[in-house]
Amino acid sequence: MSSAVDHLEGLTSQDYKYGFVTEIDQETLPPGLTEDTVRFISAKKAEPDWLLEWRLKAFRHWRGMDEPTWPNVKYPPIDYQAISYYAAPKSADDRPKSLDEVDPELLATYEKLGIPLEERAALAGVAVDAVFDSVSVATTFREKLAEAGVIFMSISEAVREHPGLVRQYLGSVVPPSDNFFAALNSAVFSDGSFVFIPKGVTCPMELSTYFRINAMNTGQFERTLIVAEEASHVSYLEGCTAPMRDENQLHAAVVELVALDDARIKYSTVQNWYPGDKDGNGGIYNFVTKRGACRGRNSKISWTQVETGSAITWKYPSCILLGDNSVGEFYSVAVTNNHQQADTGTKMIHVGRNTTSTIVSKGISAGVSNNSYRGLVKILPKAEGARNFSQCDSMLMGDRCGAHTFPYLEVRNKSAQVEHEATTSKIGEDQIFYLNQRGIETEDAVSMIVNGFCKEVFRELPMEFAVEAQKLLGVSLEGSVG
Amino acid sequence: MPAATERRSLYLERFTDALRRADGEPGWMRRRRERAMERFLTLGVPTRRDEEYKYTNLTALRDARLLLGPARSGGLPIDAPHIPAGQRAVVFAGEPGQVTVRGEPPRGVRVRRLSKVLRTDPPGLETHLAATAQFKDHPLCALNTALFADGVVIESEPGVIAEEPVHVSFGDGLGARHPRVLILARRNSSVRVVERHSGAGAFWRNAVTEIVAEPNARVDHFRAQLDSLDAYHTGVVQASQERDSYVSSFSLSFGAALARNDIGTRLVGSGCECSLDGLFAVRGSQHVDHHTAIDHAMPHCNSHQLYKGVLDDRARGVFNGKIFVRRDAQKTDAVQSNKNLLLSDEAEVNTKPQLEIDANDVRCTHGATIGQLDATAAFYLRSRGISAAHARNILTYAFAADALERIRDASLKEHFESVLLSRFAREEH
Repeated sequence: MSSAVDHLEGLTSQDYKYGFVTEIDQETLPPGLTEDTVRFISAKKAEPDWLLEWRLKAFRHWRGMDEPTWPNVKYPPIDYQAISYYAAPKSADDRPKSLDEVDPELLATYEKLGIPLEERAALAGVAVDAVFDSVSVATTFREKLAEAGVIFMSISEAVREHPGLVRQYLGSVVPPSDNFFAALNSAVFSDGSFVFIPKGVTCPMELSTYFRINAMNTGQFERTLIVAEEASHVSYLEGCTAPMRDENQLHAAVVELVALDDARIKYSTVQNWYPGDKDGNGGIYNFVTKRGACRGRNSKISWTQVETGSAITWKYPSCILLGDNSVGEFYSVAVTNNHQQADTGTKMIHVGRNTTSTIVSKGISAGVSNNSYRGLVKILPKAEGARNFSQCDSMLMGDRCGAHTFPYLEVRNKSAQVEHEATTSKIGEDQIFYLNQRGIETEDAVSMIVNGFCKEVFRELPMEFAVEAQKLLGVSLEGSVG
Repeated sequence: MPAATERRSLYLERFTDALRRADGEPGWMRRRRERAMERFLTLGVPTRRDEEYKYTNLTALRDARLLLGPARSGGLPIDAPHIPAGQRAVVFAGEPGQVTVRGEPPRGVRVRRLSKVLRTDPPGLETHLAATAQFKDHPLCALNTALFADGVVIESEPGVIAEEPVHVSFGDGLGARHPRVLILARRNSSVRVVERHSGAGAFWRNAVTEIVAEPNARVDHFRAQLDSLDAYHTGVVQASQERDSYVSSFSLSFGAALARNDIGTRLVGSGCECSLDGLFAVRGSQHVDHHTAIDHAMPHCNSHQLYKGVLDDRARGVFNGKIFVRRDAQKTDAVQSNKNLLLSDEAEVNTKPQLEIDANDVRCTHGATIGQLDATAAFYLRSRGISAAHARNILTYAFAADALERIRDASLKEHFESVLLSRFAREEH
């Protein structure tokens, strides 16, 4: 085995493949967070008064809150006054009308990432609302979507064009006072995506946003809001890569999903932000609040995530199953290597009758990383006939990494059926040996076994994403011990 | 005077009493008591803000009357019909320190009063007593350490295999009681201990049992908690296992208005095995909480856990099972299972199995289920002419009795089965 270990260790030292910086002039706010910062951001975006008030209320609440200490992650204290809360590409004042007008440097960045916007859009039929730092700079296929009645735009635009809808739903799933990071986001959110699928419409294409953090010391505070009206369907993809940095960067996003009667929302994420170098320097702090509310009967929200990046991940995509017969799903692959730390999982709150939820979580730890699953399944007294199945498997590679499971099951109705199972094991030496003797390199063997381990989750991803996710997994685990 | 200040002075008063009674104890014990009291005063009775007590509200234990009520009682005789004649039984009843020892102990096993053992201070006692169960982060264990009046030391000689169990029975009383048990299994020995808590009235029992298994020793510990439905029960069972030792713990919890058991073992030698099992059946407004912790510190150890719960009426059950696998504990095999049966719409279960693993070559699994009786099975029994109530009892008994299968002592298993049956027999009428 030792030669395989050496071989793999050699591969760990590989540098982050997607690390590079695009030189673009930024209009950046000096570091610091006061009410004036909030007012500046709001004014910059020419927001209506109600939104400014909403932000200020969140900010005032945030000031009185303490940073949570319960997650199983360790990091030096964050100085919230040392962060710049606004950065927008200069061209923001004069928005491009079409792709041709987009700053060619930005387009080049996407090229480097392997996501040629036009090509991807044309070939894959995907509309991309690309977020380059904080302001959306390109939205494609808007006409086609508009034809179907789908609204897909940056949230700043939506505030201008559909204030009624935004006002009705913003903060209705994740209230501004929900938690420390959600409050911070509510106060200073820069931009994000807004999706509205009207009654009876099946979104004609998969919607996709690429986030990219690209300015030194500017935390990104995305806000995503997806509303699916009665009997509508939408699949939303979110994927991230970030340039190489030494500075720790804070990312505190909020995602809210609302599904009305018979609506379905599928939300898929591939997260591959810079995880820090192999000694644990740098990397993104990813503190995200994602929550979906199944408000209507027979509604369904499905979260799928592949988390391979970030120095620290703190993320619990959750479902509140209010409507009768509503369904919540959570499929997750979380990979940690080197000094990465992940504390991730889900919450399934069963309120309505005959609600069902499924949780499949696969954690893979390598190097000296720590990977925690933290989940809550709560069956309230009125949730007659609720059903949950949870499975959390952990795989350990290397003898200095950790895997932790913290599942909470709270059941207050006898007709509920709740099952939870978890296993932890190491990657099978016999399996690697078998593949080796068939002429497969250890590196490929590890990737193959891990992909098999994660199959149940990858199956849930849209096709393009599944391919990307498998590649990512291979890259993330290079250098882990067999 | 604010309630907190008043409580503090009452605690200190009790502590002064305890120290007076403890006159003649060695200096190290006195220092430990002082440290423990200090620790308790710092931590206080845990609140629900503490993650370990998230689902269990111990506010009632702050009640000065309960905590510090008269330290004497009627001292009713303990009903212990399950102790076969001739077997060694240690009975605690009435006032603190009122301990009677009857019957003959199994050959090679010494059963002594803790107060007497402390005064002779044999070598090794300092290493184990109030050190196996660490009180630094456990306020109730600290309180017991500071205040215990007496207890029992059960010690098996090296190489002795005791066939018959030693019974330790705690009776009823008023106020707060802090009984203490130390089980020392010397090299290559095997000992069985049955610890039984039962009693009428409203009181608080805060028990601590420490188990030390020397290399290749075996300890089987059975704990039956049948306290009155007005009582509060908090208990700690903490084992420390050396090389190749085996410890089994079975916890049966039927009584008390509120019961909280912390059961743990540290595997400090390689090649150890342990099994922590339990069964609780509660109804009315009872609340029962089991917290287990298995600390795999060394390689090649196996652990096994099965906890089952039956909840009726408005009863609430809590289970938290922690498995720690330390960096060096390679080749660990740990299995944990928690199954709960809800019989009523108002019953509630909160379970949290927890794995914390820092070694890679291990196999750890846990499973938890919560559900109701199988409607198909109930229908089958009904179709055979069995009444609905009876069918429900048969199925519930079958669910619960499965856990009793883990008890290796035949006579004890039979006894626990009859206790379980008697609960259901009452219900049918």
